[in-house]
Amino acid sequence: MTKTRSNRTKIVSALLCLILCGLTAVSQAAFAGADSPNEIGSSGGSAVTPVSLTTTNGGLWGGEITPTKLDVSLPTSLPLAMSDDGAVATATDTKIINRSYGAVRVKNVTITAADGWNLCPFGDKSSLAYEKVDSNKIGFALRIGGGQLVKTESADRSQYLIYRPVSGCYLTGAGDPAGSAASIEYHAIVTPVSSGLESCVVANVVFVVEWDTVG
Amino acid sequence: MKGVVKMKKKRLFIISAALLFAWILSAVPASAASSATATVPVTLTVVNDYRAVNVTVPAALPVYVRNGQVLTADSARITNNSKSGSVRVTAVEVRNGALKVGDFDSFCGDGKIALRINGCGTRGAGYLTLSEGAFPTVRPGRALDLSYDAKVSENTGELENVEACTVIFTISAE
Repeated sequence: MTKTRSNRTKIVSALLCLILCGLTAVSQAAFAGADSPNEIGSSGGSAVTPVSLTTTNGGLWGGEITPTKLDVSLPTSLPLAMSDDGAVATATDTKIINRSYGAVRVKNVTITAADGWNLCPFGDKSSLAYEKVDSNKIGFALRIGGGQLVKTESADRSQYLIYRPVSGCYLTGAGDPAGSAASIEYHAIVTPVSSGLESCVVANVVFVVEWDTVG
Repeated sequence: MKGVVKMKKKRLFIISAALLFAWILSAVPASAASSATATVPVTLTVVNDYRAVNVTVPAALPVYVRNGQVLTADSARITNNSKSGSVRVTAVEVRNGALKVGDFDSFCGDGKIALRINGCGTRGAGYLTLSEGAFPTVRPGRALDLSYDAKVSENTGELENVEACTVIFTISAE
């Protein structure tokens, strides 16, 4: 019984070793071309020398094999300041900055009401005239890169503001400082509140950014 | 002796398996994220001390020239009508009107007018250089007296209620 198990262990070990050797040999063969002689033996003969590319995260010939790093900065918050007459002021210097080498695009943008708050269609603040005080509703509008103004259209708690890349959502690589940043213009209307608030999170805007790939 | 061989075989098996597993892992291409998601909170601050400015400025700063003598109103003032929140004059600009704005301190030329408001004289059309204390903070319900002088060119002829120049007060909440 013990001998049988020992034999089985031996066989499995041998098999594993064989597989390992085989796979190693395959991987070495893949790189063998670089070292193999590429000789020209006759006058006018030719040889093909491949140009090989390796992408790593550690510079030349080091580090892990990785694609280009996606590095995009987004605002940490979209502040709203509502005065006691209901006028809502927003930040004027918010932007998306692409620090990646490659071009990116904003794939989609969604907004979700925070706990205790609700979304409503964006429009003139007079559209909230019939709302009760402390009904905690916010209508939100957004424009990326000077493109189309997109806005909340219903009372759904979570809504797409942008569901596919549109004009203004495309950013060049960091090499072009003019094209690698896109302004975020935003506006809001908020129902009246009976007590003051300070930096209260009323909604979350989710930006999904992806490579601006071919096709 | 048999036990030692068995142990060695077992260790060999474990090492082989570990190596194979490590090789398989290293062969998988490193996948970096091709898209990223960022959640940005929308924060609301209700600023009760952000008040609408409610200020009354003079509808006109009348200037009378009678027999070469320039007379101005002594009742001009800027009134802060707000019940809470002080205001302050942060800029005064004088623009050309029917007459061109001249330098108050070295006044000369035809068809010109120069003003000095609360001690700050014009140097031509444009913003006055506001000296310290010339336009102090105006508290709620209070008024700031505007004391102004004018110089007008002699050859302007007879004029009546002509908008000689325009004065623009910029007022900010404090």
